[in-house]
Amino acid sequence: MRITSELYLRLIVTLILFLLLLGILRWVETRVNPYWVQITTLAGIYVIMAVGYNLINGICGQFALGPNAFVALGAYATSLALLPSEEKIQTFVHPAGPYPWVVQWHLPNFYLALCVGGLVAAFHALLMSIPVFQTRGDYLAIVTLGFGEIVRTLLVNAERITNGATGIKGLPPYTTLWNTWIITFLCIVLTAGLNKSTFGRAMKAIREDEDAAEAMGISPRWYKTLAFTLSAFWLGVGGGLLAHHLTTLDPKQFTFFLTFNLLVVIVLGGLGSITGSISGALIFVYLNEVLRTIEEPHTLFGWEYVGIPGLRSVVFAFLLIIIMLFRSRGITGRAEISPVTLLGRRWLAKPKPAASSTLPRIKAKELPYILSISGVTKKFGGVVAVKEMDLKVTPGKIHGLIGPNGAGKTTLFNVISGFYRPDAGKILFQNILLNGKRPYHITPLGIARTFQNIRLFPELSVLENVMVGMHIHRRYSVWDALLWSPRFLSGEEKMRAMSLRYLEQLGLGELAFQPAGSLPYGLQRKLEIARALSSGPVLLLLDEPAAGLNPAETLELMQFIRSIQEMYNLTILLIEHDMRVIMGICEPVSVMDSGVKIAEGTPKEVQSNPAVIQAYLGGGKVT
Amino acid sequence: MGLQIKDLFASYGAIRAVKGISLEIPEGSCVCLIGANGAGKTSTLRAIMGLIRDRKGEILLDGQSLIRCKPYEVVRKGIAMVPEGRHIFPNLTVEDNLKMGAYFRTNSVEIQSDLERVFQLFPRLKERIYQLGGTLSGGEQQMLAVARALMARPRYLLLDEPSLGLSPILVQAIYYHIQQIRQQGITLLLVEQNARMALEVSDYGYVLETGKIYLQGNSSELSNNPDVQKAYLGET
Amino acid sequence: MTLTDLVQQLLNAISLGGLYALVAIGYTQVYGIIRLINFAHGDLLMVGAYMALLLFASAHFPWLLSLFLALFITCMAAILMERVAYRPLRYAPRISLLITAIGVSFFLESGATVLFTGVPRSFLTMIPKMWRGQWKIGEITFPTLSFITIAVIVISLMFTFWVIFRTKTGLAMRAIARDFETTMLMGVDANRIISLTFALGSTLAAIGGILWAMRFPQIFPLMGVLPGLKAFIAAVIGGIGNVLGAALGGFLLGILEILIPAFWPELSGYRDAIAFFILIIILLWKPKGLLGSTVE
Repeated sequence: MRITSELYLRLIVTLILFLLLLGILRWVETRVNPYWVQITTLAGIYVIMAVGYNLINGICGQFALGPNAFVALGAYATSLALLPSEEKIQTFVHPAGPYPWVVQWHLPNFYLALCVGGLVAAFHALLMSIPVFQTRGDYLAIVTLGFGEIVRTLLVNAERITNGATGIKGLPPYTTLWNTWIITFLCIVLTAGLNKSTFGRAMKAIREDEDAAEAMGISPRWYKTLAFTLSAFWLGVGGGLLAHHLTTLDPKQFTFFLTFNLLVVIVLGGLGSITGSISGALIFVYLNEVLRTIEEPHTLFGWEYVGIPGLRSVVFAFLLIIIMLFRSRGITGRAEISPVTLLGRRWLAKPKPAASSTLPRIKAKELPYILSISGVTKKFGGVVAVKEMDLKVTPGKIHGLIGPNGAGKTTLFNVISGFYRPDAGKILFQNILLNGKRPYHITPLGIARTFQNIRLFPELSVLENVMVGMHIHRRYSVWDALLWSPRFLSGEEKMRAMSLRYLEQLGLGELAFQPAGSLPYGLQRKLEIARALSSGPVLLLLDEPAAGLNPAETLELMQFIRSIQEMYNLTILLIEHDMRVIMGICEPVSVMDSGVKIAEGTPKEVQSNPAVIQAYLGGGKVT
Repeated sequence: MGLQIKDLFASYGAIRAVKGISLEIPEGSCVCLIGANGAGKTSTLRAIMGLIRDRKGEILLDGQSLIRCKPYEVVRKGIAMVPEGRHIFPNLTVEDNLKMGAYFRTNSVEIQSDLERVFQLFPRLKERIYQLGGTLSGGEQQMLAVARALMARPRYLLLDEPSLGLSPILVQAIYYHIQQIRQQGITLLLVEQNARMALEVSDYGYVLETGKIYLQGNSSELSNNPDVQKAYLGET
Repeated sequence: MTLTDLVQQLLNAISLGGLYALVAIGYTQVYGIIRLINFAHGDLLMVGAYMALLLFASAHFPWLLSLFLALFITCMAAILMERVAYRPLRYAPRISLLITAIGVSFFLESGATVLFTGVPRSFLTMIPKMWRGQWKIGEITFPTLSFITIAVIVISLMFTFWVIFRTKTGLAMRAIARDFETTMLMGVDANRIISLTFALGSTLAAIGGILWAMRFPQIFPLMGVLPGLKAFIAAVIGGIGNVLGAALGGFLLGILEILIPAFWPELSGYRDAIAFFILIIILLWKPKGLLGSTVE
């Protein structure tokens, strides 16, 4: 029997795994000593925190260093909701006691409290995301680390909420092996669902190349915030479980040391992989227990070993350095052990040539000019890259834009596609003013683009690259994806089938499951065009598609461009510095030099224009 | 004697930029590499200097191999390069920029006299000696970049697109200086998109296309060769 | 607030700011060249302080020799750190480098915990008797130590600026921070300059660590974490990559950290959070810092 849908296969395997988990838990509960049951519970909590932390750091690629803040927020919110009012009044050392609202803050049920704890953490993440995502890279790391420190300082100082440095002791031990691991399972399944949805792909696309993601109609800000908030939710849930596992709360539990441990976990497992996070967490927790022996005295073959307290931290720090130096991708890299990789693709039937196998398209309007640019100027500091440029593009043409290096062609592209704001002038696309719009606003209007130096999402598969391209045509919401709703399952299924068909049409079908970065250069060029095309554009902007190709490949690519133009009835604006490339396929041709349009006409006219020859070959004699 | 490049390959990651180029640069000559953008001219220079680490082939300076040398060792052996886009240090004064050029040299008397010589060649720079490099005009920056390379007292000078982004008058000024440098006995390897100018000043030229040599010959012959124009503009 | 209080607070603020400045220079220079937030830089304070104490109190070296040896050992540790952990990753993704730096930082901290235990040790023995008194000028008294701290900081900063702005090596440091590749084209051995940068920065960090330990005379393995983070923040405030900016940011941060709680005592518990608030405000208002360079 063959299973027609990867997602249904996934459901079946998930169910089997769940039963397996129940069996293992039963075994652990009955056959393993209580101490290791405790450790196994802790391992489950670490898996939740690691999967959550991995969502922002590994999947979305934003290197945040403040997970300790969210674990702390979740832990305190959950614990305070479950602690009886009298106990709060008794234990708080501040002379005025806890704030009245802290006393009244009460929830009837552990699971509800966990959920609310997660939401409290998520809400704070939402607030923090405003300043945090103003920054990138190293600054983002340090700002999030700062938030971690600020929250820790608050825990110590807001004595009427948290009981300060004294902490809270004697929490009820609600966390058990069973509830932890069932929540862990839920966390994994939900995160895996998200990971495999259009939203997870959008996050990975941002990780791989933020600008290219934006050109696919993805708002980086929105998806980073989504990843950050969801990540905080799971860290908060983990915090709630941790508090009721340890049964004490103390600000010292939530220092940068916790962040360091979680970082070791996700780096050890493999940044960006859920499987990696799970294995990293399990290895970390059990290894941490096993290594306890090196801190305790022993007699080995008559040799007295005194035991060195604190040595485990040295080992983990050393391990982190060694991983980065010799295996920076961790245990699994970014690969996932999924039902499909477990069983192999042979269990999957080929997708039926569904009726909806044609790409979703954005409708074009009937206008004399599809794009009209008038008086566009763009300056960088004192340098004028594009100067009072006028350009009109007629529908159904392959319009060439050529000029020597540094003429301002790519700058003009970046202005049209929204990456730069023009300093002056107007850009009208199908009578819509594009000035001031961001790239992710412009793509849904029907403009797609490629980049001069290929910007695929190299670690995503060829198929995923194309599916990211279809981002704006998604048919389900985040909630559908998180909850595995039928709309998500069928929508995703259709999109997959469509993308596979499309790749076959383009002759890339065999490579659908290869990472895009592993393709030969020429095919990468082709894939980038295919990805841009999958958003169903009316106007396609190609930035030096033949750069780096040899003459034979160039010829092939030009035929490909002509064929897709006919097949999809596209309008194409094509940049090229090498005039020979576009002679065969472009008409009309506009020539730019030093930011100004110097000629326009048929290829032949342009080629014999003295100004053009001067621009290309240079001129003058040495005097 | 001279600089010989044999079957040089260089790549950036998966992209092969230089695919088996062989050049012959006799001492005292001026050789130019021309070709359209993306033909591999700059990559060839960067590979010679060791700035591209992923390279193979042979680079011989007076018979001695440079293929395993780091950039600073190549410079210390007497080959200097003026990078494309000038790359002067904007945060350093003109004087400090020039001192950087002479960084590895120890004889301060010689450095001082070279400084004087460079100022004779480029009097404009002397006027701006305490100005920050970033405040110079484009033409002045190009002069500074050339002057800085001369401060290493190279026997070989590699020039990458000295005319890029300069107005025609400045291009002429730069080429006037290039000829003067040649008269001082420095061997030149010139990379240019501005083919006419480059062929005007050089003895021998190579036309590059997609990382390979497409044509070569005496510069005077090349400048009359219709294929050169074809290499840039295609069939006319 | 009496005049003595005010003067003491000011001296306090300036000496704290100076300490941040010393440490910040190492951060900013390393970031300028290899674009790495060297998390382990703060821990060099701890290394310097422990080495000085061990050499003096346990190995019974003369006081001055202990100090200089401590600087030397810290310097060697930093050069070794760059060689072993950072240099192999020169062409790796920057995130790998950052994670490695976090690993090195924890390695130093936990290693110190194993070697010296987590129990704080008194640094008082390192402070000469004559430095422990008070000076009195007219009506105003202030501790001798804060005066000496400021003097050492001023001398160290002057020496550092002399190296960076008046020597050939300093010239190469400034050049390489701006343009790595072109600096190599000048015949500069980049690895050597990077090692020297680590040497200079770590020496300053060790001086900072010893002065810090004299100011708060308890040393423990994690003593470098907070001053290190704050010094990094100072470097960001000043404009990362810019040495003068780091010094400026350091003084600014130190002064704010002392004066804000002095005027609003209810905020004193949040002293450690102030720096991060300032950081966030600066990054939102002037993402490139006060003397912003073009480093991204």
